[in-house]
Amino acid sequence: MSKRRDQLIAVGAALLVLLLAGSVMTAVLSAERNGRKALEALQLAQLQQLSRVLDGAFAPALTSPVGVANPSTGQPWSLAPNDAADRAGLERLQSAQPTARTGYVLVDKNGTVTNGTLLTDPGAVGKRLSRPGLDAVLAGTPALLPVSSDSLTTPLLTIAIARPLRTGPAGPVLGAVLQESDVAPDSLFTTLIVGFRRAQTDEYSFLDPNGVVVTSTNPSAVGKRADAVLLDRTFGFHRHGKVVTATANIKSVHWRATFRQTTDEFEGDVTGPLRSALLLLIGVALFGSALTLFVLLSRLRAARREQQRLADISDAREEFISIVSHELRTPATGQLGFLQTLLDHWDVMNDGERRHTVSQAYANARRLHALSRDVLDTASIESGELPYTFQVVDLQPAVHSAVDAVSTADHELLFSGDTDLAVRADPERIQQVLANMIDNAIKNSPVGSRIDVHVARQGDDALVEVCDRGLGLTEDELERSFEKFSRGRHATVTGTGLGLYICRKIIDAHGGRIWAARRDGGGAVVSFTLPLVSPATAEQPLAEVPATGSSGV
Amino acid sequence: MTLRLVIVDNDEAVLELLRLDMRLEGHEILATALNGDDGLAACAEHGPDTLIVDLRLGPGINGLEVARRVRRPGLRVVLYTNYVTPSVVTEATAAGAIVVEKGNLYALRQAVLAESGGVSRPS
Repeated sequence: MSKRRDQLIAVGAALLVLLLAGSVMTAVLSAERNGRKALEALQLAQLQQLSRVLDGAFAPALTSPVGVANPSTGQPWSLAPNDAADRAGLERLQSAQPTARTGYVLVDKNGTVTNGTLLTDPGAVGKRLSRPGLDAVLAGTPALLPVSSDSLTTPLLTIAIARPLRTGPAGPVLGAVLQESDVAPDSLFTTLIVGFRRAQTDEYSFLDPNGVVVTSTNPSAVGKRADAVLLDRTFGFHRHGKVVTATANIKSVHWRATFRQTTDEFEGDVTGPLRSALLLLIGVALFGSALTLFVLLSRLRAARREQQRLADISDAREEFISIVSHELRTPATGQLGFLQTLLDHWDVMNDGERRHTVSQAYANARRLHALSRDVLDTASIESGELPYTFQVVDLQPAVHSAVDAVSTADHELLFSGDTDLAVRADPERIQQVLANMIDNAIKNSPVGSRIDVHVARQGDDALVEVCDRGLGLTEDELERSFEKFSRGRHATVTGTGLGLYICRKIIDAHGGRIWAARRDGGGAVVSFTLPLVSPATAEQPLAEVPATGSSGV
Repeated sequence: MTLRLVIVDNDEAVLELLRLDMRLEGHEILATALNGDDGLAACAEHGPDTLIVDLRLGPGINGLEVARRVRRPGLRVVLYTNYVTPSVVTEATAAGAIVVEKGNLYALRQAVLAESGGVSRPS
């Protein structure tokens, strides 16, 4: 299983989450787009419907013959200035109006005012009315006249429904009747269309053929020329910048119904929640993919670590077996070889040669024994089963006997030390530690050199030092001496590399400390401390230390 | 038959054993060495009949490399090692050396006297 493949799987999973999120996002965006289009269509349809309704309302007023004859007399209008019958007819029409904001005016075929209700200036009778669009009406076509200030019945701006007056359906035009309605912000018309509003921010306006706002939900726009944005648009729905508009045609009166709102407000209702959901979705997708990636990668790392740990253990075990088998084999073959030589050449050897050969076989046997003990001790230490029998020990005689137990003809071994150093220890293990340290010093120093073993009190501890005059230790060796399988750099130095490792484990178990240092003037110093036991604690008599020390590796 | 020997091994104890045994077998020990370079120098200086050399010699060249470099007609090389593997045997044979597994002196004695290359294992 490759690491790269696992990482690819993790990244792939994260990508899948992103892809999923991406497809959902696309769907949401598409839904948003469709929703927006539907909203536009709905708005335009609403405006067109409104226009049709208005169209239907205006058309009969323009085409109906009702009121063309004098409703008071049923006879044609006389159109004589201030004619009483004409006046009565106008009053009749006026009384049908729900408010007093619509006035009626009669003009003759020349456009001269002959009569009127609610006239603001009675002197207007006899003067010509110059209202745009009036000429067409006098030519025979009914019309809704554009917004104008030339009103006679009110000082306000008005529109006017103007119908030609004839003697009969096909008779010549005698004059016209004008029904003026104001376009003030509070006009009846305006009050009616305010009902179309969906929100406070939308604006419905109705423009006359000149582009003047006849009525609007925006009071300040009424009676004025409409904004360019409303004027310069063909019919339909439009978006321009931050504003949307819709325009519909009111054919009968050539008006335009318009709608205007900011884009945000227009889409807010529909796209607002959609947009929030989208943002939430994106956030969740990103978080999800990041989380997926994180979880997968951290699991991967943990699995790798565990794999590595097991591999390390396996490697260490294999190395251990390899080193141990080699190191055990060397003294075993040495022992075999010397004995074989002795047997094969017994007759030709003299006594001295025989004794020497046997002693060599013995030395190899001892080495084999020491090695096997180290291996067993290491196995016990690592399984946590190395047994200790702790007791209060006087360290000075214990160390002294360990030194005495070492037999070396090649080195000068000197002992010195303070007395009365009571420690709590397993005397046999301390002997083993000292034997290992001294053996180590012997192996690492030249024949004939001196080795000092020293015991001293140091604060609350007892300090034991073994100093040699060998080649000393490098910085790296100072660090590594106490690791398993660490061995001296000298080719002729043999051993499992377990001696100092075992020493450290034993001293650790005693609550002490062991370390190596360079000796001033060359060589190495290996030292350990053990905590001193106060005389009060040391009630029991000091243990007798066996004088039979074991030799080190 | 008395042969003139050079013995190379990084273990002093092994050298001592082989010195003793080969002397008692009637051979003459011209020199011993603890590493490959010293072994090569001893061969060049003394011109032995047979070289006994360990495979693993610590730092420096190993026994196989020593065998390759000392190769000459009339010189028998015995690779005396704990590590007898097919690849070691192949390489040693290519270098004209005989491989003997450490641990049995009979096999070594025969290999020292043998006429041709090959592998000799303890019985």
